[in-house]
Amino acid sequence: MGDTLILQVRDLKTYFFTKRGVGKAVDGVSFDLRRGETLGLVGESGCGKSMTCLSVMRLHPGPAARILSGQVLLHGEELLQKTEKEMRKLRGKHIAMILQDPMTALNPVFTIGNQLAEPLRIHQKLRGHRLLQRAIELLRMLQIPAAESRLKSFPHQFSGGMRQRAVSSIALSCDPEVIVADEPTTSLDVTIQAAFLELLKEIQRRSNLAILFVTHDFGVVARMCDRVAVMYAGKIIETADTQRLFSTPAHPYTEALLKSVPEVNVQIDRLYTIEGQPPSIYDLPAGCPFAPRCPYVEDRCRQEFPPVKQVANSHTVSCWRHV
Amino acid sequence: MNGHSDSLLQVRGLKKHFAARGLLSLLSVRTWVRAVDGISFYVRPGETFSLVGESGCGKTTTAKLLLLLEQPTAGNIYFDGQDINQLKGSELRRYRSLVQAVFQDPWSSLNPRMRASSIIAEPLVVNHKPPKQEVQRRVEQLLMDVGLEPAAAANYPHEFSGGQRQRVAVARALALNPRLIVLDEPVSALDVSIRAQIMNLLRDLQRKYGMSYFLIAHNLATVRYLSHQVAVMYLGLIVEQATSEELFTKPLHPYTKALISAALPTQPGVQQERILLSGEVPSATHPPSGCRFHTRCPFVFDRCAVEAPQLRELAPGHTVACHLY
Ligand SMILES: Nc1ncnc2c1ncn2[C@@H]1O[C@H](COP(=O)(O)OP(=O)(O)OP(=O)(O)O)[C@@H](O)[C@H]1O
Ligand SMILES: Nc1ncnc2c1ncn2[C@@H]1O[C@H](COP(=O)(O)OP(=O)(O)O)[C@@H](O)[C@H]1O
Ligand code: SF4
Ligand code: SF4
Ligand SMILES: [Mg+2]
Ligand SMILES: [Mg+2]
Repeated sequence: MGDTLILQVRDLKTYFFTKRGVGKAVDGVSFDLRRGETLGLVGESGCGKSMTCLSVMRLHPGPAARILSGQVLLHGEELLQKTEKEMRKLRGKHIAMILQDPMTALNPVFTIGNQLAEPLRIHQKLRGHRLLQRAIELLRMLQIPAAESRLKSFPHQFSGGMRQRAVSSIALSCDPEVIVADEPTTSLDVTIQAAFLELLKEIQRRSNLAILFVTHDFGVVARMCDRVAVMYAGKIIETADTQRLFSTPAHPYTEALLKSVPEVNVQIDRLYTIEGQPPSIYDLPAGCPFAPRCPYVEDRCRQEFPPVKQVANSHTVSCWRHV
Repeated sequence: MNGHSDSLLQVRGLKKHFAARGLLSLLSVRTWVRAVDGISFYVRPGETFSLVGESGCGKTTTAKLLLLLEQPTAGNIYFDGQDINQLKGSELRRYRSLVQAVFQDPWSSLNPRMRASSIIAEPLVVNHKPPKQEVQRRVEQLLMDVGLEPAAAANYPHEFSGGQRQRVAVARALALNPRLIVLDEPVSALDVSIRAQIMNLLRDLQRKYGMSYFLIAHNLATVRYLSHQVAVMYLGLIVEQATSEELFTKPLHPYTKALISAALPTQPGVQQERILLSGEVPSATHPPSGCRFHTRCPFVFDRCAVEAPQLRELAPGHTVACHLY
């Protein structure tokens, strides 16, 4: 059971059409997610992580953002062909999302209890006593103290860590098979983050949940993810098992990123740096988007985007050095 | 005044309490946010002193007190042996020019209607009114110092990336040859690949010009990279202080240990002692009795809730406030 494919994304393209021109936010993204697995999606701000998540959920900000092509298969069912009404039935029940900022995910004028009850009423048709019991159970599962009385609290009466757990309890309320978590801990303090991550892993172990985990923090990746996909300028440029990615990164960008992150348990004399900055999605260079910053750049890098190559078992990379 | 003769800045018993807003104050019950509640430390010339701790523990408030943006409720700050809250006239102006700041958000800390050249030159022009040519030469020098092209002088803030804006902010802070720069989360808003560039820049500039840094950061790896001395703050108090090397290799306070163990190793599979904390950070309005950490401490025992541990020097230069020792 541990190896069944649950979510497949194939060549997904989501572009922005604005006054500035065409912004290639998601530019041909493909990945697989299996039951019980956590896939990390890492990359710098603006590389397209959130747009990828939102596109998978069909929550991308239209009309400026449009999904141009690709496939999103949940249990083999094509989500991109579904109507909004059909999507609403799926969201929460089979695939749910945890947003980066818990405050925007919660409605400030409704109690936590109200917001938790809604999906339970719609998807699980729970009412009355059983609804209340389930809501309390969920808050307890996410270790929110005094769950019964907390149902009557409003979001602003919760601390950041508690809000994030409340949002997560809503996302988990109808036992979805897939959770899309977009930087769920970035706004949390480190000790609160550590506790939240442990909790999420525990819940995953119990329910065999598949998690797409977006972050820009390699420390979080090391702790949470089984596999990692590295994004740069709208494309996934490398995918590997976590252990393998850290020990033998194949793409020059991954390698440089890993070298430039300082570690708390080692004193180093000088940080490795990648000069320059990521390109604008409105003005991508021809060929490999990392070429302007890459120490190994060759002529053909500037002409054509490198094809995806498998360099080891479940380790793929898009770089001319590996072709 | 006793203390360390080799220090540039000394802070003694510093407190800042804010009157709390909210329900209780409406009912005219006086409550106070004890943002900074009696801290002491000193900063040596040419060194980086860092404050670490979680959101709301009082780091920025401490920085504001150093920058004279807030008045202390109690305690003193001495710069070159003089109490900064007693300074007047030219001495006050001198302090304001010798102590500069760089803040977290490079998007909002620069005036959007000014060109980089004016932003960088402003402190210089206000303080010394130098001739135009000299200003231009100085701006060019400063741009070079922070790794920007001279042509960048003509740009407006929105024409820069986040990392470049932070370079402009650093150039401005350098303009008056400061002896201390307050850095409040200088890299946390920046992207991973840009962060390393700015951290190296800060380190190079300190080695070149010998100024001190007062650094605030919640990312411990950043702190380790840049600091000489590190103090760990929890709910308005310093709970542990040591040299950077000592603090990160031999942390003693349970909270410091929890922070370090939460600052995940960036390698998968590296196992280390994990100290997970339960519970939330208590409010600074009603800090817990005794040791303020006792509501979350995995090693708590009877004495902790009743008696506040005092900072004691357990090894040379390494002080800890915890009843375990
Ligand atoms: N002007 C003010 N009025 C009332 N309370 C304040 C004021 N400024 C700060 N506080 C409170 O003082 C405490 C310390 O705040 P401070 O900004 O120093 O925290 P910090 O350590 O810098 O946190 P962060 O890591 O989130 O920046 C907090 O509880 C904060 O809410
Ligand atoms: N509403 C929007 N309108 C126009 N461009 C947007 C919008 N939202 C995001 N973008 C652009 O799309 C790209 C990808 O954004 P996003 O997926 O949010 O990045 P990430 O989550 O990796 O930081 C960025 O260049 C961003 O500026
Ligand atoms: S394709 Fe070329 S430019 Fe791109 S990462 Fe590989 S070597 Fe560098
Ligand atoms: S004094 Fe007690 S509660 Fe406080 S840190 Fe030490 S052991 Fe923990
Ligand atoms: Mg995002
Ligand atoms: Mg602050």
